[in-house]
Amino acid sequence: MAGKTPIVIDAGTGYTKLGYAGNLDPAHIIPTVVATRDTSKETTLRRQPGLEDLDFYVGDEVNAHKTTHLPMFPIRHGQVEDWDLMERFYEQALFKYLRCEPEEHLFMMSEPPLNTPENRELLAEVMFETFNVKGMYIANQAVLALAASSASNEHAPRELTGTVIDSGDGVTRVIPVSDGCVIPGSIKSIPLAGREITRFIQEFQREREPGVVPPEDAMEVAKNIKENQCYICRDLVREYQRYDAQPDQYFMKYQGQQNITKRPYTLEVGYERFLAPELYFNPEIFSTEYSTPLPDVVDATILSCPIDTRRSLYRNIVLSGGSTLFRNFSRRLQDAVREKVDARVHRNEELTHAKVTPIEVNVLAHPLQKFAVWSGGSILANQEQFVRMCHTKEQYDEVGPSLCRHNLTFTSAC
Amino acid sequence: MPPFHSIFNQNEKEPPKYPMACGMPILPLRASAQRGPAPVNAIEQDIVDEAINYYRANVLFRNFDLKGAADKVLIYLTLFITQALQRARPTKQECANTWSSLAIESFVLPGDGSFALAGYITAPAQQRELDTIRLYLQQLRAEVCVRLLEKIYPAPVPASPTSSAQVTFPDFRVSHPSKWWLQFAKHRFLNKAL
Ligand SMILES: Nc1ncnc2c1ncn2[C@@H]1O[C@H](COP(=O)(O)OP(=O)(O)OP(=O)(O)O)[C@@H](O)[C@H]1O
Ligand SMILES: [Mg+2]
Repeated sequence: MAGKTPIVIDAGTGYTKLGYAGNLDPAHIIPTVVATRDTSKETTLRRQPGLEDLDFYVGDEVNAHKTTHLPMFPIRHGQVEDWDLMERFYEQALFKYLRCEPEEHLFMMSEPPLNTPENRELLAEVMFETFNVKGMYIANQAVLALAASSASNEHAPRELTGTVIDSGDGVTRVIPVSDGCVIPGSIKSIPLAGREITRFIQEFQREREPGVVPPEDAMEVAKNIKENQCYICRDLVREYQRYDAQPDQYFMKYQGQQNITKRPYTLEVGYERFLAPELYFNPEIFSTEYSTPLPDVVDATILSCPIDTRRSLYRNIVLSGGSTLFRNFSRRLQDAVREKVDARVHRNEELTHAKVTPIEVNVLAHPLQKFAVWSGGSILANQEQFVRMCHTKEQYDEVGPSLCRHNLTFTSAC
Repeated sequence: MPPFHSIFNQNEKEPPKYPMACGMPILPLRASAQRGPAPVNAIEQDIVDEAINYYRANVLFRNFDLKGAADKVLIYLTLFITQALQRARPTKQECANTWSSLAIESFVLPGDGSFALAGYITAPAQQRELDTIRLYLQQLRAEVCVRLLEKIYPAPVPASPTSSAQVTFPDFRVSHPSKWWLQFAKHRFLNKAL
């Protein structure tokens, strides 16, 4: 069945990634936002995409229409909360960005780790009824991230078993996966991610130099600094001492220009470079409610899994998502988890006087990390067997949305 | 990792290495501008160095689990550094004057109802302990001020040969307190203030 190239979509809280299977990177990365006219609440867009009510904007276009249109976010904490909005979003994503004919393509859709069968039905309705897609497969984001790591890293195991750390904009999740299936009771979430890191940088700079950055640009500036100048240090005190000893090696500056007046400004960038990503290791600095460091969460997650899976889960800890891109993330996390594991092994040995085989702890950074979920989808949808894994339009017309409650399992990346 | 603890903490089960006042050890200093109960010894890093070195990390924390009695001195000094930074002056000379009175003039002592660290540092049992703790804290505060002054108005750093002269950040050659230190005065360590 040689058809057209499958389309891969990973819809995230912050950004939706879309493109064609077989590529390493998504063709489009669109902010997951829809702006509709404030007053047009009574007009509903249904069933006839492209023909009626085009008075809305998605993605990057939203900014230019802020005065007349209200930006709304269909996804919160990884979960679609407003399917009408999501449908409008997909409409433009497919017709305006990808410019595809959905009825000719198979679709690989990502879903968050604890998605409900009801949500799968809603997605099926949108895809099969509104867009008439030829076929669709729904894959767990964590499984796709593992596939990306496995395919792009020669040291990673081929089978889809490992612990995925997915940190995007809204949440950070630790998700154990065994043979292509998520171990559901063991998933843990941390309510902090990229957005809080950006906010910290913004506040920390305002606290030091109020008035340097125009308030309307402040968030964008902080985000740029985060994505380009921040990194993870080994030890806070040692890092401060480096800045003291060699200021011109470590302090940086950021050149900005005010959006409207084009007035240039210069901002100095200092300790926030390494303090901001401490979110993962010292969340107490950022939140009054949440204080467990990521390495502790990873360790607790794996310990809550069936005993025969633990060694493979420690051996293959995989990073996924934009907020895991900070330099040295994998090294610091690996050291911290390893230290906890070694200490426990040591205690056990002292108590039982029995030698335990050392537990291997690996945190793998990999080249596809930034869009790991999308890239994993791209790899699996490019496999020959993908056609057989999809639910087809014919099956859907026969069975209805409940067809998509369950999807077959990929157990290996290649 | 953080928060950072004092290396002068010792196992509570062993007999104390240092004389105690209000539950805090009277630790040796490597130098002391003011005479007081703390002896001056040839040690590499003393509790004042620790407080200053750890300050920019520890002040960000809301909790601090004591790992020993020396940590009590550390948290007292951390709060004092915040207070000093809040009173920093535009020039080094003015700041030195302001701080020298801040260090020794009347301040709240353990045992007083309004002492911020009552949960950590106990009240003196008799007059003699009260006198000792006053002199000890004065000595520590004065030493913090002397050393902190050099940190926040550092000597000019020559621009490294690799960087062009006019884009050196931050410019430490001018005499005003470093904003890279002053900004921490806005954080409330342990949600307390002296
Ligand atoms: N190089 C970088 N360094 C640090 N952060 C980055 C970098 N590139 C992108 N980010 C951040 O990653 C986040 C987006 O990541 P991602 O696309 O994985 O999230 P998402 O899928 O939209 O959200 P979620 O997975 O929470 O639903 C943003 O906060 C963005 O600022
Ligand atoms: Mg995501």
